[in-house]
Amino acid sequence: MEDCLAKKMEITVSEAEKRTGRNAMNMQETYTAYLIETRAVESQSEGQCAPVDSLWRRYSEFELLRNYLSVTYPHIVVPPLPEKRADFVWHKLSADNMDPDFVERRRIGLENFLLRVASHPVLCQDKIFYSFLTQEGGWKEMVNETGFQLKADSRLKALNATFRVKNPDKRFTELKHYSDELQSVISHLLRVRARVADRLYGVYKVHGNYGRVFSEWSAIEKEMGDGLQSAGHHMDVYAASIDDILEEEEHYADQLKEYLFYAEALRAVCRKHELMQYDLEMAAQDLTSKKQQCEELATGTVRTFSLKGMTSKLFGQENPEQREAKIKVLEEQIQEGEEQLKSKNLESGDFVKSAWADIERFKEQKNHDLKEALISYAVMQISMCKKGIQVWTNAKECFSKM
Amino acid sequence: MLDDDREDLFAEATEEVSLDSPERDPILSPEPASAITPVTPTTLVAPRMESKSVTAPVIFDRSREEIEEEANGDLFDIEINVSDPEKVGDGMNAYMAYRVTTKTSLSMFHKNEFSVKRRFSDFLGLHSKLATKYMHMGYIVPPAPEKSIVGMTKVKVGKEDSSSTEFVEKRRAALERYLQRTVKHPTLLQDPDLRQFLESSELPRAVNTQALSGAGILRMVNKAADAVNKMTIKMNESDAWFEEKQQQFENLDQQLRKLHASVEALVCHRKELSANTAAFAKSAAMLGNSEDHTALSRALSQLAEVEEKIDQLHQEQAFADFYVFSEVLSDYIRLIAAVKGVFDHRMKCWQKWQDAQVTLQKKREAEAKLQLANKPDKLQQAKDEIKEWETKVQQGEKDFEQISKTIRKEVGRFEKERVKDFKTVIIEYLESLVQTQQQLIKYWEAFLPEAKAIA
Repeated sequence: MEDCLAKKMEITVSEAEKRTGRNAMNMQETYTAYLIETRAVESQSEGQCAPVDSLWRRYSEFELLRNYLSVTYPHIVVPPLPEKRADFVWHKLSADNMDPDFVERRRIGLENFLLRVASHPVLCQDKIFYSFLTQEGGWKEMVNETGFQLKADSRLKALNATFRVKNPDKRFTELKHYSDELQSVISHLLRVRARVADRLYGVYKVHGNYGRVFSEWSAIEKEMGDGLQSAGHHMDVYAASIDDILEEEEHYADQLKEYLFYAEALRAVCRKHELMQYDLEMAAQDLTSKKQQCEELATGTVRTFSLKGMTSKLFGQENPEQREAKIKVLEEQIQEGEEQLKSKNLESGDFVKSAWADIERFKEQKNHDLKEALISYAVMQISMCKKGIQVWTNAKECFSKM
Repeated sequence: MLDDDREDLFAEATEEVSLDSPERDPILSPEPASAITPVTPTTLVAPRMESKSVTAPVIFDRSREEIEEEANGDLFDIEINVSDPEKVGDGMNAYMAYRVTTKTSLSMFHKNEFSVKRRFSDFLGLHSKLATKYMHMGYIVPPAPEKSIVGMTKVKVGKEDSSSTEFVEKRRAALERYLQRTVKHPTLLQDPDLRQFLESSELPRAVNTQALSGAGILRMVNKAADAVNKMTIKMNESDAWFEEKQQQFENLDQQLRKLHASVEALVCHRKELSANTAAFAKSAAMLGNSEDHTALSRALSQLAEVEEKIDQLHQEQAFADFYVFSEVLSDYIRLIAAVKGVFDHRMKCWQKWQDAQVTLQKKREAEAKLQLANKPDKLQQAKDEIKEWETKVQQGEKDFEQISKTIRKEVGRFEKERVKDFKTVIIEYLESLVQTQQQLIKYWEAFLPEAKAIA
């Protein structure tokens, strides 16, 4: 942890700017660029601040970075990016990507992403990540040169493995179920929460109506005039307070969304394991069948039905020299196969170990984050109630004085 | 010629009962009024309204002052409760009977505490009697709860309650408010029909419903309304006070309607908020179930429980919004309609006076003509008619002054009551809001240690 980049460098995504440019198809497009600022943390500087480096990146570059990291470190639960498009919106929130509130929340999300990567013991050491933060020009080319796209497993292959793998590690199977459940529950929670936000907004805004009516009404009253006027004012204050409250709440919703996307990252690790396990099983199976073939050729017996056996029966057996040659080839292949199997086993074992270590790390992080979030949420609710009490008590006093 | 006396019911009423004659014996009797209360001569009253069942209203200045002193001082002590709604009968003929309990130390009643059973139509009957007797004289008679409630929200308040239980409760509360308002009125309190309503164990139904059936009243009211509308009354308002007040009430009416609409919208929103909060709670519980870390799981279940409690609170608050605030607003919207009605009566009274003056003038002209034509017997008749109409003009002026005076006093009393009522209701409502917030704080503060316990 002491080597974490986050400790050595201050990273912020400080600004967002609308830009226009030409895309790959030479068509005009509008996009948002984000300013990444970095500054080295001097451990014991006497009030001297290191200079700030900065560069602009857009969302697609963040995506490229993340894809690179996912492929290069398949055993790591790679932190997710904030959502590409506004989802789980309620009526006041805009679904427009260019909406300033959305851009602002995305800026925070992107900063959070960078900080998470920078605090990860393995990921923070990656050179591509470092260049992303520090090297403005030529970064894209650098990433593509790593050829990581070739290493990426095809989706189809992964799906195939998922269905056919025989002995995946039980822990991964459980993890997969957990992340599936997590995804569905959190999606549902976010949808409901959006509706609650909508209704809460409605309740507060109606109080704005009260405020208006009280103000108008106060004009025609003699005795109750002042009381109504100030009560109206308090109602307006109350109605206006919902905007800040819901903005803050949106922040918690964003944290929930992060965990929704983390579930996908967990799934990715499980998929990789399944793929490796399947690969291993296939290699083992292949080796077993080759060994069997070898034995058959050597002893001349056909133990199990095989096409080779059939064809040799039908078309006659080979002569001893041919057989010897075949056996030799097979023996070589078997040797290779055994070595491969050994290394694959090792690889797989390493993968499971390191993946599981990262998953444990992730779980701890999640528990810690959720604890913080729940505490803050409760505290926010309490402060919201206290403000409400103030408003209503003040209004009550206005009326009592009448 | 003249407007047809038989058509104008209110004219009859004002004619027959002389308002300010001190020689008149009070009709207040120490015994409870019998089912058939003292009559007014039937001949001049339109057949639709059987006046047998209508007692003469009680107006007489000295005791009125005493009554008002009683009303304002500590001696004014009468409390009405409407409770125990009970279904009587079956099928189409079934109805709800309510228990009306009166607690009082006023001497006009026989006992200090007594109760009777009444049904909704009894209340309506009481109101129509009082309205008929007093409104045309300028008294603001509180309106009875409506048969079909105006602006009834589609939203159900309270999860457990079926819509019919709510409806009964709403009605019970409305009936109680109605009676309390009525007895607070010092003049109405003296009315024998009111006392009979509160005290008599058996209220004669036949008398109530036939004579003053809803349909009958409606017709009468509509007739009066039509009459007022047909006349283009351009009243020379000598008293700016009345014009001002009318405008004020018009404005107040508008504001109250807007406020009422806001409260109804609020009730709706709160109900939906409550439903969605319940869904949120379930979702949070599911999240708790899928987590294997015990402290986290427990904290999430706690969160779910807190949200459930909040849902309950939202419902209760919606209930309060409705009963405390919205219903009282509707009451006042209808009360203001009654106030407007009283102002209209005054206009009608003025019109009558003016018409009498016009007729008098015509009679005088006719007499002058006859003087010249020298027809002695017709002349005498003309002179008699002039005397008759002079009296009528005098009476008309007196009536107009009286009704104006009464209205001023009534409006003053109404305003005082209104301010008091609103203040009380709004303060009660705000207190309920404060309590809700305080309860919410308790729930969240209880939740905090669970959240902090997550390792």
